Amino acid sequence: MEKNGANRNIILSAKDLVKTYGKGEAQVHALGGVSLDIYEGELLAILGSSGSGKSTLLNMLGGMDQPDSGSITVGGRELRTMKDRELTRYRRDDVGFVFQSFNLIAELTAKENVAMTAEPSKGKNYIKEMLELVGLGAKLNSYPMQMSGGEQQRVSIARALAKDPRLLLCDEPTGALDYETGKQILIALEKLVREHGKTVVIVTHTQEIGRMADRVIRMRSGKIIEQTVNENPVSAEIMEW
Amino acid sequence: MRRMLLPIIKKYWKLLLSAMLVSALGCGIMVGMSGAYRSLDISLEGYVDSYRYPSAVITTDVANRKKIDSLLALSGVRAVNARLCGDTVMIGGDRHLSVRAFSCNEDDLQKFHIWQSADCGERETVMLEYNFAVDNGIKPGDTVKFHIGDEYRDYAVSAIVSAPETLSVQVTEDSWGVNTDFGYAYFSVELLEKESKKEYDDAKNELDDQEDELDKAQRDADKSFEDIKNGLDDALRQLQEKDALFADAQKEAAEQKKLLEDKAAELRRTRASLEKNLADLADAEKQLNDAKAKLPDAIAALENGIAAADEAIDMLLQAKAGLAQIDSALADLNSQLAQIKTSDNIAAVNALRVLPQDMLLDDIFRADSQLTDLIALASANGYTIDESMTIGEILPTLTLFVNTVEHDYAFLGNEYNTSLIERARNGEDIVTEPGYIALATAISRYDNTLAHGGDIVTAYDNAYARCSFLHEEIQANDLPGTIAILERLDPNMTLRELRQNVSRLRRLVNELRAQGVQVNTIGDVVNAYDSSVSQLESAIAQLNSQRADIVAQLQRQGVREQDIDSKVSELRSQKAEAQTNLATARAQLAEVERQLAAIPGARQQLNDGIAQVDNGLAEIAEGLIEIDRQLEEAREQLDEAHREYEKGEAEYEKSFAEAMSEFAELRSELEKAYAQLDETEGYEALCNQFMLYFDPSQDQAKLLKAAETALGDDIEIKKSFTYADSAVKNRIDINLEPIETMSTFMPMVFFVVILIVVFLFMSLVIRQCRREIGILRALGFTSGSIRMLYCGVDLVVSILAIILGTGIGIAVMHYAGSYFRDFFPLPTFTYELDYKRAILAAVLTILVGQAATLIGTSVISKISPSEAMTRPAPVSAKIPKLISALTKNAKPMTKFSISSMLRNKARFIFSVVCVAASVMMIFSSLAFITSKNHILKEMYTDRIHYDCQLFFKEQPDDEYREKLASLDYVSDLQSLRYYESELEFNGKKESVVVNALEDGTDQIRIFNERGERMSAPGDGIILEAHAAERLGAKVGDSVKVDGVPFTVEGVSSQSVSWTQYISDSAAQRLKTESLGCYILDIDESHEEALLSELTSSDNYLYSVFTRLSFAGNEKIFKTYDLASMIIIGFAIIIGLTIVYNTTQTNLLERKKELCVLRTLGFQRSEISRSWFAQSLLQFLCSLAIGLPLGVVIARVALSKLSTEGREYVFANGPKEYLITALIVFAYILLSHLLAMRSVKRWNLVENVKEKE
Repeated sequence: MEKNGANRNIILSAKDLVKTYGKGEAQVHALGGVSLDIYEGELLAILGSSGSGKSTLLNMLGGMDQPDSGSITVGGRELRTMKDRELTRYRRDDVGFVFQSFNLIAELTAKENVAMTAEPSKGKNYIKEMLELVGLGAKLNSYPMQMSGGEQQRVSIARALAKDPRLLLCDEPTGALDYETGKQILIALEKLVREHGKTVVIVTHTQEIGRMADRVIRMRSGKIIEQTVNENPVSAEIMEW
Repeated sequence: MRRMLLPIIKKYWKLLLSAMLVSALGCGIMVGMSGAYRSLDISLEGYVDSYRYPSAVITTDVANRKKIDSLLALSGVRAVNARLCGDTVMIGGDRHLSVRAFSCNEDDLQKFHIWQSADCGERETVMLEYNFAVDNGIKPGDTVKFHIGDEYRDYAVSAIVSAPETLSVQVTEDSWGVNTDFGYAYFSVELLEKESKKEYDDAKNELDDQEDELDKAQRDADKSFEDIKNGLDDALRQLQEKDALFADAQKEAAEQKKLLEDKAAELRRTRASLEKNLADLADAEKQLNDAKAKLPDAIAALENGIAAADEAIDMLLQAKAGLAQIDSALADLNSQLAQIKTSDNIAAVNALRVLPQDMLLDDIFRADSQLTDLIALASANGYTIDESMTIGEILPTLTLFVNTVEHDYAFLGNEYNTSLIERARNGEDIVTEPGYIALATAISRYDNTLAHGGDIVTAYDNAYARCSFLHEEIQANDLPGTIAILERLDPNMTLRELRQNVSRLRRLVNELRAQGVQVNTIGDVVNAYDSSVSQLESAIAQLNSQRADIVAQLQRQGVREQDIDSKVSELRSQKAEAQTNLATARAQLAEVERQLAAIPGARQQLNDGIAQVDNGLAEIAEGLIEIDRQLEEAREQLDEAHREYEKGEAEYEKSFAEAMSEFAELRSELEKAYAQLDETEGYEALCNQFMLYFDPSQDQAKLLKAAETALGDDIEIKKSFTYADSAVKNRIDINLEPIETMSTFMPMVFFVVILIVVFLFMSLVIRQCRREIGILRALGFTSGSIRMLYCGVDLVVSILAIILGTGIGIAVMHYAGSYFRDFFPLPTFTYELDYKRAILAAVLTILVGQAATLIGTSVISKISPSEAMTRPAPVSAKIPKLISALTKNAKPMTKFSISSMLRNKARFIFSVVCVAASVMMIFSSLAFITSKNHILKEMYTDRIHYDCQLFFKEQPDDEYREKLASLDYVSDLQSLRYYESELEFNGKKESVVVNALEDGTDQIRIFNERGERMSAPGDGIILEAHAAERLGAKVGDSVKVDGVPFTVEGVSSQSVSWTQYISDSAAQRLKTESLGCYILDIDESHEEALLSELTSSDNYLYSVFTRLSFAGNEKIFKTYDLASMIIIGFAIIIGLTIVYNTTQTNLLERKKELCVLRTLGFQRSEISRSWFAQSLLQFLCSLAIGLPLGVVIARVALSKLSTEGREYVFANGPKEYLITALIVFAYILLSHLLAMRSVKRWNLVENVKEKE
């Protein structure tokens, strides 16, 4: 894989994204003309402090929010022109979400949480595989309340992967976890990219996480202020923060 | 605090609005329906009041002004109005119509309501009743004809009026099935008075002429009667003289007759005496013959008795002797047995049994005697033997002793020892000689001097002498033999026992030998003993058996053993008595034969005597007859004269009395005619009525009774009743009853259900406010102030609900009221709320809301503020096993949906309870509609298959029937006699309607309780189920119809018009009169023609057309439809509101999770579908609870609605269950879809990030 992006497939392309909240004096420019491409099989880290617009950008990339202007193109389709039903279909087929607070359904077991989003045609074994992939093969029938935060987040990752998305969007995946657990999550994500060729975008304010990414985008006040490529990304296993 | 009120209301406005709406609906239906009924009630009351309906009505044969005065004189009677009333026929609108005509004038106390009027000028007028006129298209100003007298007269219709007495439920323009050919007409009383004034004058002149003629006729008659009376007096004097002469002749004849009669009496006494003797003789002869016949038998019986007594005495004496002989023998034998079977003998024999049986007795005796010697010898030689030792113990000792002695005797006397001793005797020292020690030892056993230094020779001599002695003793007594005998004995036997047994044996042997029994061995003794005992016992048993036989034989003869002597004495005494009797009987027989031989002579003498007396009596009788004949002749002549006189006198008296009576009668009639003419003052009609107004504070029934009494006996009271008992009030009450039930009972049930819903709803709202309450408490608000705040919120909601509910109620009242007023042709309808119920509804609404709020806030106030402020942690809701099983294979989304709902069980239960209440209301409301449809179907589809039913005063004759049947437009005319009868069974009575059906009719069909068609009645009766139940009668029982027995052939099921059926032929057995009735088929277009034909008959009463009756009933039932539809509508609104709110709340609670799912790519439709599982579960649970409750409520309501003769049965079937389910499903689906609309507006980004 070439780290500078040449000859790599772009799976998502965002151009001049602008998003403003509120009116008049209370107006907040969440995004002020952000453009970026996401390449297949890369681990992209979007760094920035609170209010920098990184989560807004992630929501737009995931089809959860629409920009006021600009365009997001995925596989030749423009998200801005999609109706609610199509956007939902996009979120289902092309994108996987990993949230900071896991957002698992408390009443369902790990297996059921994952099965909920998986294509029925892929069967039970596939769900099991997904959970084994994140190291939870033994906790298939555990409820979220019976699992640690890290385990819950891994179920969340398995749930996102269950539908085999082209793009995995992670919003502060370690934000609600302690250091050790967070590290395990990062290792799992790294493994997805390095061993299974998944494309992962991690939004975080933890600078250190940038070291394990192939590419790092830094944002401030709704704009990208820096975009760097890590020629030698550090393994999550040896990272400290 | 007050500032918090609005924000809370604003935040929860949807929930509060829903609660308010539900409360308002409850209040609305309660206020509205009760108001509608109250409006109808007061309008009716006002109508009756404005008419001034009388307190009581008395219908008589005539109306009389004096009677009115007598009624007015009664205390408690405030006013009296009299009116004429009668039935006639009217022609109006080209139709013949039956009418009841009343008189009226402006002074009448009753005031009609005039709907329309017209000026008719000088024409004679009549007012017609509203329904009657409208239905027949008659308007004010029209001319109608009334049949008065023998002709039809024209009258102008001056007004269309109505009065409560003509009030009936106006169902359709054609009335309600009963044709309005029968109506009410009101004539001016002046018109009738004018008509009758002329008649009065003519009648009075005629009466005056009649009085003059009567006076003249009476004067002529008085003179004629005086002449006749004088002639009669002369004849009487002559007759009295003849009577005196006849009396003298009678006296003389009487004296002669007395003499003859005395003589005759004496002869009769003689004759009677002779006859008595003759009779006695005959009796004696009969008795003697009887005795002669009986005596030989008696003698033979006595002889037999004596012989039997002898035989019995012999038998008894023999038995007695036998018993004595046996007893004596028994005594001997028992004595012998006792002698032998002594305890000693038994012991001895028992001891012998164990000894060798072949042992000789002499041996054992000898051994016994020698044993003493042996023991003495042995003991003397140092052997220890005593009597307590057993034979086994002493035998070795004895044997040793004998053997030792025998040995020593041989040893001491042998040659060597003898030689040694000889040497010692010779002075030789033999001590050192061999054998010395053995010798010395043997010597020492018999002489101990050697041990003390004695001389051996001396010792030897002593010892040898001693040993020789012993040896001789042993040999002499054969002691070895004794030992041999002892060895054969029981070694365990002691010597003492041996001695004792031998002693016993000796005695026994002596006894046996004394009896001559030869015994040598022990066996002989034992056998002899056993044989003796056995023989004795056998002999005793045999004798006892013989004795028992004799005693048994005696018992069979009825004699106890101890009574033999007394029995023998008794028999001997009887025998002696029998012998005496035998002698007497033989003497009697001889006497009887002697007396019998003397009887023929005595009889002849008596018969001769009687014949002489009879001759004497015959002569006296002839003499008396002659005297009587002469007297009778004279008496007849005199009587004839008397009769002639009396006849003349009677004829005179009779003629005189008749004439006087005739005159008096004519005069009385004349006076009566005058009086009647004066009293009626021109009023006269077939039927008249007194309308009485009583003091309302007094007992109305008593006043009516007093009024009836005051009218006197000369007036026939046809009918009387107070207003409370009147048919008018009864009819109004009957029509009001179901309306009242529908307007009060059902809204009350509905309202109670609503109150429960409101309570739950407010509880739910308060639970939703948990977080706010936590914050307020954290800010320092007290629990009391928080309670006040939320109570304030509820108060606002309740007040708004009451205001809105009252508004809805007023609308409902007007809507339902407008429907109710259609029932009766009321001139005015006053709308007025039932304030008591409205206030009750308002108070209950506030109280229930406040209670729910107080309880809810109190519960939350107990939770710590920090806990209350946080959202309850998401927990894995425990899904009930049943639901868990049902959703086992469901998608995770469905499981999520159901567990989300069950997470808040209180809300789920609330929702289910509310929807169940809605289900209950819908289902029970449908029950009314189904029930009335059931009634209509049963009546008009199943039972009735004719077009018209005609009623007559009495059953028309065959000619009239043929006339009706021959009409072109009439077909299938059948008789249907109508009896109002009394059923009787087992002492229970029941007033019922009985219809007599023609054979083979298909116009009326009867069904049993299983809905199967029944055969037409044969000779018995088909009872209606209610009547059968009340009487307790079953098929096969015999019930009486007006006293005539009928067998119950079946029991029919009828919801309405409960009727018993018999056949027309069986009806002939009934003695009671029936109302005439025909049923027939007719085309609708010919109904008018039929009515024209019918009204020409005086017999015709009225007719009921099935078509119109059905339409009428259908309209009555629309009241129920109306109430049902209102309740169904409200139930839907409530259910919709509740389900919407529940779904909405559930959605909001899981908003974050659902947004996550949306983010993960779930379409809204997918979420909606899975979320609908909640609604589906609610739906199923609500049906499971609501439908059974609905069944219960429907049954209770239908039973309350049912009246005598009309039963509303619960007829809901699968269709109604399905409709209820579909309605509820529909509104649940609608609520769900409405609630799901909010999902579209949710901001995914915000909600996904929301913190727990």
